[in-house]
Amino acid sequence: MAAKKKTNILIVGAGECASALLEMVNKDSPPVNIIGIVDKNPKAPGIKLARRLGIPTAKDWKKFIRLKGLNEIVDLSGNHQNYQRLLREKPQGVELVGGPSAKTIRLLLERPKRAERDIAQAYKTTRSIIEKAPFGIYVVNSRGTIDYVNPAMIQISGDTYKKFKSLNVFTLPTYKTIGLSQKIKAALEGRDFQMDNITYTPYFSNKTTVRNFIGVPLKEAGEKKVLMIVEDITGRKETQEELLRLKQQIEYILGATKTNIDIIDSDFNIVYVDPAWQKLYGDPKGKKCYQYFADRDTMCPNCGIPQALKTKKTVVTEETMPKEGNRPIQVTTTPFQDENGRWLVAEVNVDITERKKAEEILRKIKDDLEIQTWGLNKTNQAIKLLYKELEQNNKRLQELDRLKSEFISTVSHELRTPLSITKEGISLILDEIPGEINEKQGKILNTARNNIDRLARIINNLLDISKIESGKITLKRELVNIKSIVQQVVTTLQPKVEERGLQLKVVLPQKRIDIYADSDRVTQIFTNLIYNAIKFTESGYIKVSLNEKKDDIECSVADTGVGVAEEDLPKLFDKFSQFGRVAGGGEKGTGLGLSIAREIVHMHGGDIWAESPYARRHDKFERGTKFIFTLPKYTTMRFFEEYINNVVQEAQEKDTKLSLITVAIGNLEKLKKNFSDAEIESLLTIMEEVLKSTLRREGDMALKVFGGVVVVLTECDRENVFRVGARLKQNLDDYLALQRLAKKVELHFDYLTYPDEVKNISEIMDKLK
Amino acid sequence: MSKKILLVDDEAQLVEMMTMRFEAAGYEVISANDGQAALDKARNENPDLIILDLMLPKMDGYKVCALLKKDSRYKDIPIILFSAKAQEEDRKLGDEVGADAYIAKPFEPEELFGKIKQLLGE
Repeated sequence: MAAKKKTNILIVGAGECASALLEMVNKDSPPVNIIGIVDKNPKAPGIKLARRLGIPTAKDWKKFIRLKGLNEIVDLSGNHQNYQRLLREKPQGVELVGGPSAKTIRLLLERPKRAERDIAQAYKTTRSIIEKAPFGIYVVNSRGTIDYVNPAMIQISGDTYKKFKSLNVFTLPTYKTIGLSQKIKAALEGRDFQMDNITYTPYFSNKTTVRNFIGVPLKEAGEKKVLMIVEDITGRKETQEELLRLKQQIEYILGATKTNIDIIDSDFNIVYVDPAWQKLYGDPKGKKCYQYFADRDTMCPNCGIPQALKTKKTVVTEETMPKEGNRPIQVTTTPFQDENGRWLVAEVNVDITERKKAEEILRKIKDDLEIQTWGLNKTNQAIKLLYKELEQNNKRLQELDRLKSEFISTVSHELRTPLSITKEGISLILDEIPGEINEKQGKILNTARNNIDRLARIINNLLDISKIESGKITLKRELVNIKSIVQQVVTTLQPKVEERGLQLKVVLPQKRIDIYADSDRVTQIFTNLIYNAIKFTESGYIKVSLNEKKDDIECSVADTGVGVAEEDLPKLFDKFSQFGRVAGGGEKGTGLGLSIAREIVHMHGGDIWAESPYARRHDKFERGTKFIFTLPKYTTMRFFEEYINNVVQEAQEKDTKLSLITVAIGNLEKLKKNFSDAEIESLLTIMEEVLKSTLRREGDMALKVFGGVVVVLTECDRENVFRVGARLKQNLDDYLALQRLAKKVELHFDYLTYPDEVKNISEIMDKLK
Repeated sequence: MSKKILLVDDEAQLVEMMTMRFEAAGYEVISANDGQAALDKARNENPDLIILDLMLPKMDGYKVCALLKKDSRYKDIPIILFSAKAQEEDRKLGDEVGADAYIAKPFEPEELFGKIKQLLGE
């Protein structure tokens, strides 16, 4: 019985499709026998399922083709090339089904289920539509009673569900009165009906509504029924009345504001024109807008309609109405689609006569303003011109200033060159290199040479004073011991003083006195004053002294020479003023030395004056002049503050960073037990020296302050400060080790960077303390 | 053997007089009056010391000095810068180009000889 024999099939491809098939075959025991399933992927869902069901699996289908009884190969792989291969290689008598259309098979297999599902879904949907419908639905059977009623109907009637179901529409008096009972009876016979705008009050409740009734004949399980649809249009009617009122109001507003409304279609046909315009222009029916409003044959030149329709955006244009005395209007053209999808534009036309008038006035004001502005502009231009001139003048002045200082520099060079040739010539002869000279000749040449030297000094001083006066000199200030400056000047000038037969006395205080000054310049002050003293002193002494006052150091150079009249004292410092003082012999002055000294003192923030108390006395040795100048005394703290001030300001200006390293002795208390304060102080001094010598750049500094040593590093950021710190530590450690102090002194390093951690000077000071 | 001094200055009269002085003091003197000639003579004539003016035609003294001091063959020849420019910046620039001494014009013969003797190790 071949017909009853099951078909042996081999499934190729074990995807989801295959597993669906396996499942169905297994459940329903259809007339197929699956002898194997094949897939390259051992984890394919069909393979997994087959293993559970005890169906043989393999990676290659050829394993199965020798099996007896194979009738069909079902290709469910969905792979077109695979299907072509199977077609080529399948043994005779075996059919091939499926192939690339495996997906279709799957659909077919699933269809009955889906249809059922669809129906269930459709039923559910219909049911929910009916249940949720905004209109009343009920079903009347052939006996006139109610089979079904939806919630909306209950709502419309105002009855309860139970009461409504108990009604019989054939006998219901209220139905009979409006002729509805008859209509329903007719509908049971197959005639549908519609009754509109019925004002109805139900039998039980007295909720009067305006309704539309629709009756549709219906057959359900062989029985004739009527499906009743009831629409409650009470609200709608009210809305319509409301709308009408609104329309009137709008039209009133439009009239009052001289605004008109029209609707035009894409071919310029008028769809709507408000009544006000209709009154003026007549019936718009069948007319194009340009004909109706402007008597034109073609579109108005300013028309916004094409653009509004093209861009689907509101367009605002301005028009004048030729038939209304060219009244100006602003047209707002807004595109929209009607219920049929047809594009139209609504135009709101606002009268702008008043606005135009206002604009006209504004324009006139603007014109006036423009004239004024023109005037102002002219003035402005004149100011600009003046400013430009000023700028040019300023530039010229700057250039002049530059030329002046260059001139001075060049002139001094040019003057010195012939001077040096002359001097060398005279020196050669004086040194008797070309041949011997006699004493008289020598004397004359000596005078000549001295005056050449004097000229050279004058040139130098002129250069100095011009630089000082033009602010070209900057002081190279540092903390220096003024005692050592004085000692050095004295050593240098001692021979010159003694050469003149004078004595040089020096009175210095015991202790070291630090000033914050440019030592070269301070040397120059002393030199100039001592030279001045030499010049006007024939006999006696010159006394240089330092006197420590509360806030400053008083320095003085006194001589026993010619005094100065009291009224002339202040003028002493003017250039080239000698006030009848008779100069002694020897080197002549330049007339500039005191001026230069005064300028330098002032630059240091000090003061200079002269006293000549004995000027009018006749006793030679008691006469004389005393020059006194002060220099601000600097405590380390004051110096440090000023220094920090300067470097912070510099960092601000240059937008660079500034770092500080404080080196403190960590075990100070303990050290104090074993060492005297003086010893600790000297240790700190040495630390300061070591740190100073480790610093490489000019702007950097190490200073003994706040009971430790503070190292200030300019243009140094957070990263660099640690690098420098490591170097400093190494050097200090080396030193301490050398002094066998390494184990006794604990050093403590702290780092601080401006403006990262501290924002201003007071913050820096606070942190350091 | 007497030491050889290269005297560089564009003022011929000054060169003439100074030559007289140096020869009287027992030195051999060669001279140049512009920067290029100075460089050539310094390279080719083995001077023991150079006295170098700063304001020179063709190439200024700083450049001559810098070129010689950069060259390992000549860097050991002592150079005295010799100038009427006495501004501090000029001296500073002199230090930067590696000059050994600076003498301002007009000069004191004693000071100049002092420097020469010191630099020649005499």
